[in-house]
Amino acid sequence: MEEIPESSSTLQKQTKLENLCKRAILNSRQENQGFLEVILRKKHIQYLLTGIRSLPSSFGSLDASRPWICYWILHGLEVLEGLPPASDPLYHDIVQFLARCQHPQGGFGGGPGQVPHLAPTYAAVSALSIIGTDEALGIIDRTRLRDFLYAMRTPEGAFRMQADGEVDVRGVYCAIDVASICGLMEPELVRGTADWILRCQTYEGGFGGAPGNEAHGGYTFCGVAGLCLLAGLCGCDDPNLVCGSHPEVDPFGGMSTLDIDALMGWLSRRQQTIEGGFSGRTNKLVDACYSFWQGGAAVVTTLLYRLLMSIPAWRDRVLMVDVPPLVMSAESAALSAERVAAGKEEARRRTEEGAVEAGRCQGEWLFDQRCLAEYIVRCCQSATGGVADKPEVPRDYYHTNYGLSGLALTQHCSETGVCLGRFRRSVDQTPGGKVNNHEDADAESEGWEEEEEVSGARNPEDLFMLHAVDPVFGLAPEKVDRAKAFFKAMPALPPRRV
Amino acid sequence: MAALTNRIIKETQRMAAEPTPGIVARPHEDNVRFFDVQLSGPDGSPYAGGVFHVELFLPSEYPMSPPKVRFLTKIYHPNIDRLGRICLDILKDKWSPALGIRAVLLSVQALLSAPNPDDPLPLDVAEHWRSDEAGAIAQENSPPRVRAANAAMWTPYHDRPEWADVTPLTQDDGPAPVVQIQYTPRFQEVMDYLRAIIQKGEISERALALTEDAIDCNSANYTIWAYRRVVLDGLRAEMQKELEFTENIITDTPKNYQVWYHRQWVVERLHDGSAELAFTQRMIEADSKNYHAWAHRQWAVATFGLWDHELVALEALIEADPRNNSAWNQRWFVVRSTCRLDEPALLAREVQYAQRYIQQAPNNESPWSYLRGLFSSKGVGSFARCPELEAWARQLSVRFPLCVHAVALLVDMAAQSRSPAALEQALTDCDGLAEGLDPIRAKYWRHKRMALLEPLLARALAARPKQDSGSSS
Ligand SMILES: [Zn+2]
Repeated sequence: MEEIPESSSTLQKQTKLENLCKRAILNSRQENQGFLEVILRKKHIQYLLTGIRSLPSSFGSLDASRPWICYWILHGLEVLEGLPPASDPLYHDIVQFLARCQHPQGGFGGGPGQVPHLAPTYAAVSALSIIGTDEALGIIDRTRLRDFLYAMRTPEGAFRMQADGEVDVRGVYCAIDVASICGLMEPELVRGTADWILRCQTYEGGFGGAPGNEAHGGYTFCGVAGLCLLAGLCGCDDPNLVCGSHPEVDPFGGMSTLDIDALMGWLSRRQQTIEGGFSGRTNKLVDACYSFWQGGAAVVTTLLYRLLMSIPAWRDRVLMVDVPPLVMSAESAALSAERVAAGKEEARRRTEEGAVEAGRCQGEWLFDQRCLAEYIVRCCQSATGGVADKPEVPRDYYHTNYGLSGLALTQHCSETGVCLGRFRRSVDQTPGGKVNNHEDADAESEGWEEEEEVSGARNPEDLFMLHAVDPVFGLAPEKVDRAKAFFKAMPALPPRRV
Repeated sequence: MAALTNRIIKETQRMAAEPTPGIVARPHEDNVRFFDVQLSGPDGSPYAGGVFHVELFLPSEYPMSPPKVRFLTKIYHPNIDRLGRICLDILKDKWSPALGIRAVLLSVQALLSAPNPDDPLPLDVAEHWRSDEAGAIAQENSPPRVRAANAAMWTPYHDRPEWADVTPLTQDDGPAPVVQIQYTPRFQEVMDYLRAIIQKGEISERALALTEDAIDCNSANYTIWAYRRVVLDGLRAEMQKELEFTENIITDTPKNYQVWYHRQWVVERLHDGSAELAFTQRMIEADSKNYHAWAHRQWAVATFGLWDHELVALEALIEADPRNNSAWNQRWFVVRSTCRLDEPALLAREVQYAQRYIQQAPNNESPWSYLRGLFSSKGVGSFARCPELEAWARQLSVRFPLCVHAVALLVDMAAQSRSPAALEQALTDCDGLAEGLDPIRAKYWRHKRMALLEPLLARALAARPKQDSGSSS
């Protein structure tokens, strides 16, 4: 349908990858008799566990990211419900290692003796929250952590990654994430922060790393999750507190200049039509890690949208427009019917060739949850465990964690629709109970809920359901609750010496 | 999962049946297109006695295109770069399907005997071997790295008399370590000496040289870079030289946050950004969407006022690849920073620029995104500023009935204009998009449809004679 044949290098790479994915999807459908829900749970667990003690020398390039490796492995196991039992000495050893990464002046470094940096600080606090014991949470020096966070704050309200380092929206997210968990959120720390985040939203609708930079999935996640934390939306004690904890700054929880329509459009366009997974930027290739970054941002955005619409002033802004009466014409109906027919034919052809089966999924979130699951399961799972970025590249811990976290997002829904941190399995989803039958493709399916039940067909270790993931913190919801409760029960910190 | 050609199976079997001296190649258990290779350094070469870990990957076009081969063991060789990429003609333009895995490995081994300094590795080697994007790409399947012959070219610090006064400081991983990396002896020793120097707070030329060695081991270690800046400041070092150093590192690891930040720091110290446009241009030629290169370019353009030729440079990049969204974003940045979009002539120029590329390839999202942006809250805020746009989009949607972007733009326009005809068309269009044209975004289109309908419903509710309980939702 393109007017002029293109020699664009972007298009060539895209087409090549689409074909790879189509092949992987067709092969997987065949091998699994159409079943989608083949998660190699046991193998993923085995793979993750191989790295927790010792890593080969090729990991030298991650020597300043070791708390990240702890987090990727632990959270990957959490999602798989494959964490070792609480009695395992491993947890104590991880805590002791992270304690060695904590800097005497506050915050965590990428390894023992390294200077503190917001990224490993986020990873370490997350890993300690997964372990969740008093010992684990107790090693965090909150007073010094608060000093470190303030030291990273710029006058505008952004955060730099390290004392002498770059300022970007990753820094903002990491800082307010750990501040939320450790009970350190205070207006002074985040004054101006929401405005700075909003300056990173681009003309495309997504967020860049800093004002002016291109919209990008990782930064969009950081921006949206950051806004959500600033609005006091997550796990707030009072469900009526919908306007956020800083109403004095902005009646919309700091979001009056958020272009949420553009954001929703950009996020939904990041899901790739053929492959089903998300790309990180416009005209870039699909990548499994964006299952969580874009998928998580889409989940949070859906909830932000509901939240904003529940604020009467916002709702009025949207709805109080002058509405003319509608006139239906036969002409436009005919045009639309033609398009629907042509589109259906095109979609059928694509699916036959191996594209993901789009449009069969209802679900709660702004993207096609089923197609995303299909990409992760069929195109990215390694036969020996682990998840890769895309077909034909090697697996790694990072993509295993974020691929599986994204897959978990497709399986769970919010309970109330307003408060995050309370994620539940969709109704009727019991482990191993529901599997999709590909042969049934023509049925008017309502998505997961109505898929045909086939029992006893799969190995029990390949059960489909994963543990819920809180899309703002990237942790199991109960781990967020537990860590917050732990710090809340601690005596208040003395006022900061300035 | 992809189907394996007989060719690969045969070659693999033959290599197992007839081993070649000095070459061991094993396919990965989870991907038979990946081979772990151990190459012995040829006798009589500087590499004799060393065993090198090499990775070989057969792309899906193999044997029509050559295998991709890379050294995992660090090696000092004029035709092999820091990332292990090899400059060898049969891996590029001299490839022939008649060659095979064994022939390739023999040639690589021969290259160790006969380095070719006249043919050093070009900068733009295919991007298959990505650097440390998101710190994630480390390959965990490689066996523990063997002590390589490049030790012959590198003197350990404990054998250097000028370092005799320093006691290396080992890393404290505790009694029961986790995620412990099996460092190569060189990595470990360099870091042990660096820790000692940092602890002493030593500011010296040798400390500077040591940080360079450490950066060569792991350029993503931000602590090393921070200390290097302390040393550079302390020595009042020549920043021009440092600028060249950063270019070398960026060329090797172009997606490394630390070195890009470091370059910015150096340029700030120089108070001169005149080299940055040409520099980022080179990096963008190697990878047209390198996020760091574009962000750095924006920073340099804004900080040093280098706006004059930016639009012309971008036009060339967009012309070369109209799907390069980074270039479109940069155009937005330049136009927004230097022009008044309010001026009708300027707005028209930008609209026409996007339209030109849309007409060339109606499925290219980048110019659509740009066009929509012009009228978004970040642009002029209203489609009313360009009344002829609707007819243009409508005509395009008729000419290309499967073009989602055209219909999507019409829906956005209708949501704003609320003209009865457009609104009514938009409601059916949302159905069409959800049902047939764009099913993967079905939920988004249903959401859009609801958003279009909600004001109507709200008005209908408001117009209804008031009953006792009022409206519920
Ligand atoms: Zn990725």
